[in-house]
Amino acid sequence: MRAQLLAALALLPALPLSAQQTQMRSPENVQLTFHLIEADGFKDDDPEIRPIVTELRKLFRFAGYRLLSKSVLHATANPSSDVSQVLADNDGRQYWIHAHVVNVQGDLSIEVELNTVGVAHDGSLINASVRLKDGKTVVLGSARLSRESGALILAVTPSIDH
Amino acid sequence: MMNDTIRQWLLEADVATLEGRGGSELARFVREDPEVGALARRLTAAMRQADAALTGLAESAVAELPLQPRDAAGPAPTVRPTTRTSGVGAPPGSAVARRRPLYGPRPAMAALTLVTAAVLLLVVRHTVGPDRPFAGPDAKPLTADLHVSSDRPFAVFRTDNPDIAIVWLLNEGD
Repeated sequence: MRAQLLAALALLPALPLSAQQTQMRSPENVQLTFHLIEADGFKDDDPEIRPIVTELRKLFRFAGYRLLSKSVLHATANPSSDVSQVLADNDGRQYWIHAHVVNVQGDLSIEVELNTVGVAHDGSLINASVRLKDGKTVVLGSARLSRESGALILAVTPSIDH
Repeated sequence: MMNDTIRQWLLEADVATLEGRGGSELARFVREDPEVGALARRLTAAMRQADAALTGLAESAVAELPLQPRDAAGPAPTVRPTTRTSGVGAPPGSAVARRRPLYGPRPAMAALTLVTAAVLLLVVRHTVGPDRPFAGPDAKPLTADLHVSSDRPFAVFRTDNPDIAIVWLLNEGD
């Protein structure tokens, strides 16, 4: 009898988790890394965004890309949370990033909004909801402040704090 | 003779086979078996109707894209910036604050978005310009593990890097 009980206890970790247990084990703390990129005639190679640029170059005919600003925000996905921050680029322009993060069945759902600060425009520059896996990067493009300006691209990489 | 195996073959067959062309066993069935031939003709007709409907949808989607230039629009509310990095809620007046819950039941919108994405993917695939996508052989549409929604039409591109996906929100001229 004792041996059977011990065997049953030993098997417990291997049993499939119920949906509720899975939810309880879901990650809570999430780090969101934002790369705000401008696409235009920039020639320099920035190792910080090289993997992203490598893929963008295969799809688009922009002459080059440059990193305007990088920002790391900390949020909780379970329960959901909202985080926001103001970024500034080297040209003095300011941007406002807002993200709503929630854990949906183990995936990270992120609603991202990018706006400028102090510049009136119709709606958001970028406004999208994405649901993706931990550690994946989604590149959201593009938006323009004006017809003459370069295209703004926002890359988001969520990583769960394990 | 019609059985489930032949039905499955028909569902997976190309148009030529469904029209009884070629030397495959299925093509022979289409030519020689009246029942199989009739089902193949129905499938072919349905495929052509779907193709025509998608083509029409793509043309109308391109014509009706809500692509008003930002700088041509009237005065717009300025979003109040915040340096808050945690907490719940959004700054007053922001689009986030006005938005409906993310994962509520929005079947019609979701369906429209999916259709738009699919259609525009086809459109973008053929778009070439100075700063526009030129989806070549490297562009693989629609990742399976990425869900996207947006207030603008968009196209999703899977990349050669399994950790990176690109979501292109379409602007005027895209």
